[in-house]
Amino acid sequence: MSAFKLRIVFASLIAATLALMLLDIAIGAVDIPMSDVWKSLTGGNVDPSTSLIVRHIRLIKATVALLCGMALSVSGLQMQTLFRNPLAGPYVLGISSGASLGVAIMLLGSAWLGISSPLGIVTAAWIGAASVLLAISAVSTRIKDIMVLLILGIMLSSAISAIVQMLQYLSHEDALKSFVIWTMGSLGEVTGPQLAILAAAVSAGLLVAIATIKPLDILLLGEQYARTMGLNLRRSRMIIILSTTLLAGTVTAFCGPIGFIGLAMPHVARAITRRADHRVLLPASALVGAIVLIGCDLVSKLLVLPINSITALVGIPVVIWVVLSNKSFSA
Amino acid sequence: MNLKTNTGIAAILLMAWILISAHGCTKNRPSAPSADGYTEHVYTPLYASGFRILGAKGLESTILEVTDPWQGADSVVRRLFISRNGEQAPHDGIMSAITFPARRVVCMSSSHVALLDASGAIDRIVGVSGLDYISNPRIQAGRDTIGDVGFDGNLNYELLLSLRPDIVLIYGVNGASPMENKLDELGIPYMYIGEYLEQSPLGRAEWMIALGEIAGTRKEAEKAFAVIPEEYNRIRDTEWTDTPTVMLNTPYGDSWFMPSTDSYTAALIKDAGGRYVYSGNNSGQSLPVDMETAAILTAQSQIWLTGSQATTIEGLHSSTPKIRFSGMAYNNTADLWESGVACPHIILKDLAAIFHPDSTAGINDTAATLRYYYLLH
Amino acid sequence: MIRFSNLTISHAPDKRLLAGASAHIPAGSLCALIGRNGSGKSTLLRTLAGLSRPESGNILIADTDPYKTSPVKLAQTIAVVTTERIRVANLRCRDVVALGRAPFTNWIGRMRQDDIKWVDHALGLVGMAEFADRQLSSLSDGESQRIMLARALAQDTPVILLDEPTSFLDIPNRIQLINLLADLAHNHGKCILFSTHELDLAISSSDSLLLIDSAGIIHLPAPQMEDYLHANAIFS
Repeated sequence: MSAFKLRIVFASLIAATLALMLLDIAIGAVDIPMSDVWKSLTGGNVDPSTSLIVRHIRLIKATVALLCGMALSVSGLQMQTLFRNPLAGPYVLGISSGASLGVAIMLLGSAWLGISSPLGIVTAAWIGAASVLLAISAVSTRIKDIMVLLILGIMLSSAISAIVQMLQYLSHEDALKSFVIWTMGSLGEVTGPQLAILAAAVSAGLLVAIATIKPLDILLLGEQYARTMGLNLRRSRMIIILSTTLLAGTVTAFCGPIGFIGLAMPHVARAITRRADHRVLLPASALVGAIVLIGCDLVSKLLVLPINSITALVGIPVVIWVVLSNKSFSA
Repeated sequence: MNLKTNTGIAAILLMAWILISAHGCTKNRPSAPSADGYTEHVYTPLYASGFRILGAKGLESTILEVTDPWQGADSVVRRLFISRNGEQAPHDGIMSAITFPARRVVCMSSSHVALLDASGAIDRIVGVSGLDYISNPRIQAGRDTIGDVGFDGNLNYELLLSLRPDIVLIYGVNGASPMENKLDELGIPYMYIGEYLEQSPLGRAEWMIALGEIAGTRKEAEKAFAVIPEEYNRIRDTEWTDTPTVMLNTPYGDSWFMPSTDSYTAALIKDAGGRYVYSGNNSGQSLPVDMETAAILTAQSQIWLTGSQATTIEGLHSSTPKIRFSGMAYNNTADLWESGVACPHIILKDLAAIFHPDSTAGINDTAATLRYYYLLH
Repeated sequence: MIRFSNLTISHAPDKRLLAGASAHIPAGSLCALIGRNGSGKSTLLRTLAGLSRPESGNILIADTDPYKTSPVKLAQTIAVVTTERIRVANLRCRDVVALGRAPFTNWIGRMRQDDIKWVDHALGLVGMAEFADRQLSSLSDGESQRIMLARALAQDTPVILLDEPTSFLDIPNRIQLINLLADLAHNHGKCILFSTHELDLAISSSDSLLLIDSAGIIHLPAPQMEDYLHANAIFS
C-alpha cells in the first residue's frame, strides 16, 4: 500500500474514531437531544442532570472505551509479535488471571482470610496483575527461548484459575455474583479521578510502546536473526513486558478482563494496512481497537448486555477468519 | 545508571503511584464538627444489632448509624444524615446525607423492597436491581414506571440518574460496595442496609424501622413491627410435644452447603420447635459437607426444607438420587427471602405448622395454608 | 579477520564437536566450511557469530570478541545468513532488507537517505531489485534466500557468515551467488565464511577451506585442500 493510500487510511480511522465517540456520547438510556449534548460538552446552558449524564456518565465511558480499546489492541499486537503467534493476546502472560485472583481474594475470600479492611477492587486487581507480571519478567531474563515464557504464562494462568475456582466454590452467593459480573467486564464503573489515572497509565504504556517499535520489527525475523542484527533480547523483552503491563494491566484493573479486542484487532489492522512493520501497525491497531470498543460500548448500551458478550460476538468471527485464511502461515 | 535500571525504577514508581492513587480514590473526610455530637438515642433496636437512630439535643435531624454492614467487617460504622429543618450535616463521620424524607428510593436488594413495603413506603420505590426477580406484587404491577438499574458491578448509571433518586440503598458483601465511588461522583446519596447479616429473625425484620426513618414512615414502621415479636414469641414459647429433626438444602453438583448452627435459618428452626440436624458447623458461614455425611443427616431427619428447584417429590429424587428420605419434604417460594424478611412471625407460623402438624395448640386452623412453604408430593 | 584459538565446542557433555581448534581467516578472503552432516558446521558458525557460547577458547572477529561486545557493535561487525525461512504476512522485501540497517538507525528505526541507498544497492547486488515491493511470503525459497543475503549486505559488515547459502538455489544461481561472495571478498575486503555441501564449487571459488573432521579443524588453501581430501579419502 502506497504512502498516500496509507495516509488516507489513517485519516479515515481517526475520523471514524471521533465520529463513534460522538455517537457514543449522544446515545444512551435517556433521550437527550443533540443540542443539549453539545451544550453539556461545551459548558452551555443546560439542565444540571443532563450535564451530569453527558459528562460524568457518557463522556467518561466513551473515553474509557477509547483508552481501553487502544491499550488492549496495542498490547495484543506486541504479544503476537513477541511470541510469533497470531493467536496471542494481551492476557497471554497471565495478566487477567492475576487481576482476577486479586479481585477474587477481595470479593470472595477476604472474610475467610481475615482481611479486615479490604482494598478496593481496582487496587486488588492491579496488585494481582502486577505480581504475575513481575514473576514473569523475573523469569524472562533467565530463559533463552521465548516459547518457554509463553508456556509458563499459560500454566500460571491455569494455576491461578484453579485457585480462583476454589474461592468461588466456598463463597456466599452474593459475593459470587459480584465476582462473576466483574469477569464480564464493565466500562461504566470508572469515576473521573480514576479516568485520570487510567489515561496517564495508558499514555505511559503507549509511549513505551513506541520504543518497542524497532525491537518488534526486528523480532519479526525471529529471535535468532534478531540477535545478529543487534537486538538486546533481554532488554527488549523487559520493555515490551513493561508496556504490556501498563496497558493491559491497567485496563483490567479498572474495567475487568475485556476479551477479544487485543487478540482480534491487530489482525484487522494488518488487513486494512497490508503492512507488517510496527511503525504502521502500532497506531493502526490502536485506532482500530478504539473504534471497535467504542462501537461495542454503543451496542452493549442498546442491547443491555455486558461488554464482554459484545466483544466476543465481534471478535470471534475475526479470529476464525484469521485461522482459516492462515495468512501468517502461508508461503 | 543505564537504561534498564532507569526503566525499572520508573516502572516501580509508576506502579506505586497507580496503587496509591487507585486506593485513595475514595471520599475525602475533612475534619470539622463531627457526628459524635449526636448522642441522643432516638431509636435503639431490641433485636437488631446492626443499626440505631441517633439525634442531637435541640436539633431535629437524625443520623441512621449502621455497624459492620458486610461480612468480615470489624467496627465499621457508616452514617446517613437525615436532615430536617434545613440543618446542615456534620463535616465529619457522615457517609451520605439526604433531606427528610426520601421520596424516591432505589433498592439494590429485594429484601429492601420488602422492608420498605412493611414500613408503608412501597410507593417510594422508583428503581430496583433485577426487576424480574422481585416478587412484590406492587412492584410487578408498576413495572412500566419502575426502573431496573441492573446488577452490582455493571450498573446502568444513566438510567439510575434519570430516576432522580433521593437515595440508593446498597449492600456490601465482603467489603465496601464498589458502587460507592461512582455514586459519590454523581452526587447520589446512598446507604448500607445490613439486615441480612442479622442472625436473629426479629432483628432482620426490625430493620423496617431504619428504612421507615429514611422514607419518612418510621411511626408506621414501629407500629407494624410491634406486633411481630408478640406473635413470634407466642409461637416460640409454645410447649410442643415433639421436636422433629430438620434437614436443609440440596446439593449443587457434589457440594451440599449447610448453614451454621448460629445462622438465621437455624434460629427459625429452633424457635419453631424443631432441631437442626447438623451441629458440625459453628463457623458463622455456610460450609459444604460431603455427600455421605449429607445422606446420613437426611436419613436421620423427619423434615426436609429443600430450598431447591424441585416442585414435586419426583423432581427432588431425581436431583438427589443417592439420598434416601422417608419424611416430609418441603420447598419454599422465592418470596421467603423477600417479604419473609419482614414477616418472621409468619415464617415461624409456617414452620410450626410444618413441624407439628398434629398439634393445634395456639395455631390458627388456617395452619393448612402455608405462606412460604409447600409440600413436595 | 576471523581468528579463533583453542576453541572447544560441545553439543552435549559427551558430544564434542570441536576440541582445541584454531584457525585464522584473513580479511579479503572467501572461505568455505565443509564437513560431514552433523559434524558441527552450523554450530561453529553460530559460535563465531556470538549466538552460542563455546565451552572454551578465544574468538576474535575483526578484533572483537563476540561475547564481550555490545549487541549493536557486534551487529555492525558480523552479518549472518541462515537457511531459516521467514513467514510473516505483509512483509515486503524492501522492509526485510531495510532491517539490515537496524544496527545503524536510531531508537525508532528511522531510515535516512543513506540507509535507503544501501537498501537499493543491496537489492541490486543480489539481482532482486524488481522484487523490492513484493511480499516475502510470495517468493520461492531461493528468492527468499537472496533477500536475506541482501539484508546481510545492507548491514555492511566486514565479516559475513552464511549457513548453506546455496541450498535452495538452482545451478546458475548458485554460481552467481558464489561469484558475488567472491567479489565482495576480493574487491570489497570482506571476510566471508560460508558452509556448504557443494565441494566442487567450494574448491573452485574459495580462497581457502575449513574442514571439520573428527572434532578437529583443518584449514588449507583450496588447491591443497583438494589434495588433502583425495589423500585421506574424505567424502569419496
